[in-house]
Amino acid sequence: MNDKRPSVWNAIIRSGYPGYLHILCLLIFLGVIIIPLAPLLLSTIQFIAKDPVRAAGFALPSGRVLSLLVNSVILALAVSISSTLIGVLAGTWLWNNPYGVRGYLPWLLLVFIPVPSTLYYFAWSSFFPLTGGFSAWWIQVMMYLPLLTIFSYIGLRLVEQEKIESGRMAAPDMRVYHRIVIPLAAPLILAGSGLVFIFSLLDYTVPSLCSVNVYALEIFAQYSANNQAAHAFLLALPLVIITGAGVYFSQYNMKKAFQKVSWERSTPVKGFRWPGWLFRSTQVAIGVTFLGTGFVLVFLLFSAFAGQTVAMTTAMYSDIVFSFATALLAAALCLAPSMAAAREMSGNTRWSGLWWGISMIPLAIPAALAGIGLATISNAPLFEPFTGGIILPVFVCVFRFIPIAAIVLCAQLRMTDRTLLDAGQIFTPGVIREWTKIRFPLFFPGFFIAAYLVFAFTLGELGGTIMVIPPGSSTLTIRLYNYLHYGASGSVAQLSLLLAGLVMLSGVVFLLVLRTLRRSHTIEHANMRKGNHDPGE
Amino acid sequence: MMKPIMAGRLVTLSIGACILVACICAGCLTAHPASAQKEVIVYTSVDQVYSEPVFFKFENRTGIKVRPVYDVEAEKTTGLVNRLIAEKANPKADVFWSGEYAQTLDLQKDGVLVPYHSNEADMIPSQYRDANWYWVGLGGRARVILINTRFLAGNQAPGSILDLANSTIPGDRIGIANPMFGTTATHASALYAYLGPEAARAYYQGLKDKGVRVIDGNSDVRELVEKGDLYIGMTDTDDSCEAIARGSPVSVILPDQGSDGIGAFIIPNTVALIAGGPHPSEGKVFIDYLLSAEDENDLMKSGWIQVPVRPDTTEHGCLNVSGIHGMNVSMTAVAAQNDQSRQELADIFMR
Repeated sequence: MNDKRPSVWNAIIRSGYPGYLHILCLLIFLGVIIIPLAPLLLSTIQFIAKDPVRAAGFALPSGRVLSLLVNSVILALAVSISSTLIGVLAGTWLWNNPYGVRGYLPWLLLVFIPVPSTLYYFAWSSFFPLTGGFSAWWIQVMMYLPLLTIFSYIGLRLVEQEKIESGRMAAPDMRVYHRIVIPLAAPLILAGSGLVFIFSLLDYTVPSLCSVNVYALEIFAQYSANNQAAHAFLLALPLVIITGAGVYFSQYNMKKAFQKVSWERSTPVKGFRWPGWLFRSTQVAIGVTFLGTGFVLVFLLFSAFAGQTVAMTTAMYSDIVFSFATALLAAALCLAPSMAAAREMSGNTRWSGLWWGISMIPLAIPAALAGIGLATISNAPLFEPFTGGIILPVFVCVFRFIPIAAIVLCAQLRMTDRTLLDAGQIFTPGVIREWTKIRFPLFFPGFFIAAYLVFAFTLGELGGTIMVIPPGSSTLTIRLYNYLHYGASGSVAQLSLLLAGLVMLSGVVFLLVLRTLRRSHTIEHANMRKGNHDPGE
Repeated sequence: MMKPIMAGRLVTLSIGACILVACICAGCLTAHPASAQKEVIVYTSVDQVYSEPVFFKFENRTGIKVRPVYDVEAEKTTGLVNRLIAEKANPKADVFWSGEYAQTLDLQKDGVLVPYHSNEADMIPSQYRDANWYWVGLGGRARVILINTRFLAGNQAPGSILDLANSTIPGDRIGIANPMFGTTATHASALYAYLGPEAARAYYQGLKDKGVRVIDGNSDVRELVEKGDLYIGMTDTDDSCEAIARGSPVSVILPDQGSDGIGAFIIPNTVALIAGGPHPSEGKVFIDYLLSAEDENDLMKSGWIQVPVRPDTTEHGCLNVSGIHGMNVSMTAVAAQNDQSRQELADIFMR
């Protein structure tokens, strides 16, 4: 396991491990990223060859554009740091209150992921005048806080109980929290911070509504002005570098934080003695988190009941089916390739940094550019059979959100009990049985959390889908944005609640399956540890 | 308590079922099986709520199925134009119906369009159509001033857009949409063409110096005026009509209507046939329908357009703009100013 050779090669030579499958999944992962980018890269190379000075001008921002980039990075950093601080405290409260109804609260936070950011602005601006950088910061923190709270909560839940208990025997609880719990949960928390940093950096809607100019809007302005994807791609390059570097360095020091626990074996923390100020801070943080979500919920409910009821036409049902199928397929198809990439990212090899860099590219590419790349390449005769259906919308969503799945699975891999993996490899006959009996159940929480996030983000996807959606089809989100422009606030609210309902439905399924698994695998692991495991079972 | 082996099966089954359901849905949604029914593929940047009824009526009238692709303002309506350019070698669309004209002229420049002389277009004045019939304009919208009547009486509002920067209204209570995008960008190009680049630049610099708020889009300007966050905003007639229809405390001013005024800027819809599209005959039938007097009346009634281009249109939308004094500037002159205006406005506003 500690072999220093590149892990792809390890995968080939290791006996019992399906190396060929791993490599196949890695190739698929690379294909998913490279295919939409290929036409963009080609046109960019042509542009650089034709006019290198102008190309450098786009890729190396200066003057006004540089100051926009700096301002955008500052805003994104402020949003990311604030969300992280509040999110960790809110996550700590959830971690500390896992019983009864409160145990379900974390999953409710995610239901508004597909809701347009414009609605967050209008919900808050109903009560407060919102202009300027502070307003943009506040709205974005309210938007992204649930995501970071979830990442923090999962990170904390996956901290090995034995380590906490050992620490508590020798040191006060606060010190254990500070020196053991938070560092062990850090990979996932910082991965969440990185994601929020990227989302904030690429969001131009909220800053624009608050009359704040950001770099992401500059990319769109350039693209809108001359329809040259190469110019927009070069403008987006600084974002690729900043986001890739940011997320990589946030994970760089976390590689040794392996633990011997997985979700099924994690038990809620009991009897922690918090200092009064921390206890109150966690209460305030969870209050702020739910205030943000509650504000949007109340706004949507009020608008939905006050406005005209949206007509449920055949076209609307068809949009629901199309959206649901796209999100489900994108979530399912993300898993295998992102697991392979996560394995490379979590490794201790010199290549892991490269894999981090590659994996972050889709997050920094504006959705419209990804869509246009895919639309261009789908014109090639080779891809002709795939056009005109759901495949391209699924593809573009997989491209955009596969990094999220990879980050979640990477964190899961770092926290997985490796002795169980090794035991499974030794005792189970055959690769398929090893996967179904040992690996998949162990990775199951990561798989489902990754799939859940990809599902939710895909439901809200707009920029890429619109470029490749087949004629005659539409998604709920496209319809919602059309109503949004029209000003039909009632219809917008009803569709937003419908999207939130779909996310919640998938969340309920997730929780039910997860609960069943936790019950059963606790027994299975206990049996394995006692040596009672029957490999032939 | 469930046995481990059962749980394993449950997981496998549930995941398998999910993927199966998705695959079945995908199978149903992937194929548009070849059928005897004729069809036309229309890419449109016109809001779905307005364009969808037109498609339904066309289908009922002709029996030709419309398969539309919609654009949205949130993506700055750059989507479909770039998609059409990307698909140029292997076109998927038959018709492009735009809510304005700048993008249509871009497509013409890129060789995406093919000329089509519709008989229905003969009644349309020549300034609203291309000389070589690459595109034709139909009814359109005008740029107007929307005021919140709770905070401002009609006579307190400037009658000219050129007076916005000098008005007594605080700058942070005046709003315009981002002039880098959409109809606001086209309006800026029109001012560059009409006033000359120097005067137009000075006008926008004046707005910037006054602290006028630059908002994401025209619908957001309308929304903020309705709520009273802005007292006055520049937007399109269709957005204004929506605010009026909702009973908001707003009033619309058609700017620059005096004999010495520059006139309100009118933005017609445009429609064009795509070169090499899969259903050219059906595309032509659709264009004929869209350019008909009946359809223009329908679009006026629905609130999408307020300014007809046909002299025989009888319908009035939410605004009676008969006799509107329009800005006298040609579409090609406006398009010629796009690059310079956007470059300079980026320097002024995007800091």
